[in-house]
Amino acid sequence: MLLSALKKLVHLRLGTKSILAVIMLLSAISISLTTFFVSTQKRALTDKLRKRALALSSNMAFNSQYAVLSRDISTLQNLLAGVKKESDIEEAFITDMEGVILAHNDTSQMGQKIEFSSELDSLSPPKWIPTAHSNIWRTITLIEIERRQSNGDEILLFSSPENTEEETETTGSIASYKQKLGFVILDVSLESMNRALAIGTRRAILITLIMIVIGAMAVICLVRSVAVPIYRLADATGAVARGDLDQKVPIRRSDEIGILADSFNHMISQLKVSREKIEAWNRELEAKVTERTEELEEKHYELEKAYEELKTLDKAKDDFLSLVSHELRTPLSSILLYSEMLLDGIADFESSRTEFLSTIVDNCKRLTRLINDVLDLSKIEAGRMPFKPEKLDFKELVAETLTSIRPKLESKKINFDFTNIDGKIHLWGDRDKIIQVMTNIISNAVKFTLDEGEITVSLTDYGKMGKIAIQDTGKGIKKQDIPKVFDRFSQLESIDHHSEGTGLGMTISKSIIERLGGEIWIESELGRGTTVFFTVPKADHVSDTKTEKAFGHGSQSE
Amino acid sequence: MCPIQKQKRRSDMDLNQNKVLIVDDEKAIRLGLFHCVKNAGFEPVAAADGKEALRLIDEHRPALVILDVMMNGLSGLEVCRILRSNPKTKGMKIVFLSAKGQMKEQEQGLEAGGDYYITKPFDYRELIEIIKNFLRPGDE
Repeated sequence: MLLSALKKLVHLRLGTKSILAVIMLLSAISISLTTFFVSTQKRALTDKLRKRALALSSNMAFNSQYAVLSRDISTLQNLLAGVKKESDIEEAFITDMEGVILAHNDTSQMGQKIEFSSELDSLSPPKWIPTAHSNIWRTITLIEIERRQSNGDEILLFSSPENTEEETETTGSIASYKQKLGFVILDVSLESMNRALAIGTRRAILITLIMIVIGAMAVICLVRSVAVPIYRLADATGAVARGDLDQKVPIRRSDEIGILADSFNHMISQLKVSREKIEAWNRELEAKVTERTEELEEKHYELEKAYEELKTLDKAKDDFLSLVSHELRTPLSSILLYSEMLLDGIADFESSRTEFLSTIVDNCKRLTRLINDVLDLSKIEAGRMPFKPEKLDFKELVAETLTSIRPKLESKKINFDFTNIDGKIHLWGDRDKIIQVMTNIISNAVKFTLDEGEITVSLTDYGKMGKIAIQDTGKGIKKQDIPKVFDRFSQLESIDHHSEGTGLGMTISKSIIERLGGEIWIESELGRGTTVFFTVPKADHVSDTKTEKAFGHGSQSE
Repeated sequence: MCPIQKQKRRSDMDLNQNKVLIVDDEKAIRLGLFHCVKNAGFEPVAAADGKEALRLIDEHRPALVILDVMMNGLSGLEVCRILRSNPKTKGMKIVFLSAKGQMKEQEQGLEAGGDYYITKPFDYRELIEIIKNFLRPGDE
């Protein structure tokens, strides 16, 4: 029990502890002071009462000398009645030396005898003794008379009991003695004194209690004025420790607690600022991280895309290589076959030997063309083909193209018409490249046009471009096959790559025209003929610098 | 280039054991092989595409076909499948002769039913040996 109470005490808040300590101290001081004052007061009052009683009884003893000597009872009674009038006197009586009451304020007790203790013999100075009754004290004073025998006469000297002894000593030469007559006995009541004392004590206790209460209140106020702000600070500190920085201790004081609170508030606001800064940094960092992550993701996506593109390109390259190898193997096969046949003497006639040799030569040429075409195509597609653009007269171009084709035209008796050319239109492009394209298209047209057919070339205005159309009266191309015409080594029936073509002509033509900034397309009707269109920029619409740019690397690259 | 030695089937009596059909869209090869086959003592027949080949097979019943793979119209593989699906031509020897020489392409040819696969460019003597092996097994 006690231990747990002590533990509780230990765990009390600081303010309560201080209040309890101060109240206990205050109470201890007040109680001891009160006790001291009450006991002092009691002693003083008792002393005063004793002195009065002793003085009174001495006075009585002196006054009653003769009346006792002469047994004058009525005088004694009068004296006693006078004394009895005094306050606090409970009983007053006079006895003789044997203790027989000579006079008593209560006359009924007269003639009775009281017992004295033996110590009464030395009853000088008068005694102050307690009685059986606790509230009553008794004074016993000896009544004596001095008798002096001078010259045989007996003289009675009246003296006060106090100086009797002195007298005796100074007048030693004179024969004198003291005759003991009896005792004056006063019983003094302490009741009124005790009553007064009790009242005083009560007042003292009351004052003490009031003092304790006032003191306690003062202490409580004082402690609270210190402790409450400390509690608030403690609570706020706790909250801050838990991370809540929106704490402000509302204490406006100029003392140390005020300074403490101000410092605390300042510290928290600094802390808050720091934390906000850190949070801002964190956010910034997070944003940066997010940004970087996004960038990385973007890069990753780009890389993936590039990778896919590369894969596609790689696949295209593989396919192309496979096609090229196939196209190379075919003429090689012929060359090998015929060479070996010649070696083995299979050609038994001179004529067939010549035939064999010309087949070998044809296939060698074809191989050469193929290699050149493949290199051209890869150069054009890689943008490494040099273009030298210039102002071109289309009629001249056609004439130049015809020089290589004319023998075939003549052998097939094909009517070639190029009167349909707008002479005002001048083109802007690379002469050799356009002749290459034209040769390719016209060669194809010648191939597919039956004997005595017709090929028409025309040039018309087409906005900023000149539009060239090469129309034949050949067998035409199936609609679904038209896009395949531009494929590399396309396997169309309509494109015979056995003798002249490499299967790359139209692919190269398309690349060249597109590099010149034009377009190429085909319109065809099965059985009626085919028209190949392509556009080339007009000279009056292209400034030199622009063209240089349009043709990319231009002349400076090679 | 290693020969795939399939179990020799008994030659169908109605196939002409001396006739060899050459199918190639490349004129020079066609003519050259014609000379070679003829020189080896066989009767060559030549076709420029699959359609013509089927027509000539019907007509001449050759015991062996030299078949190009990449041709316009019917490809060599398709012609081979048609021949293998027909009981009348099932026993025909088919030798592929192609510029496509990768493993995958060779496998495709043999899966389609080819007896042999030769890649261009080729040694014509080897081809003749193969023809002889298929058509005159007891000769050497």
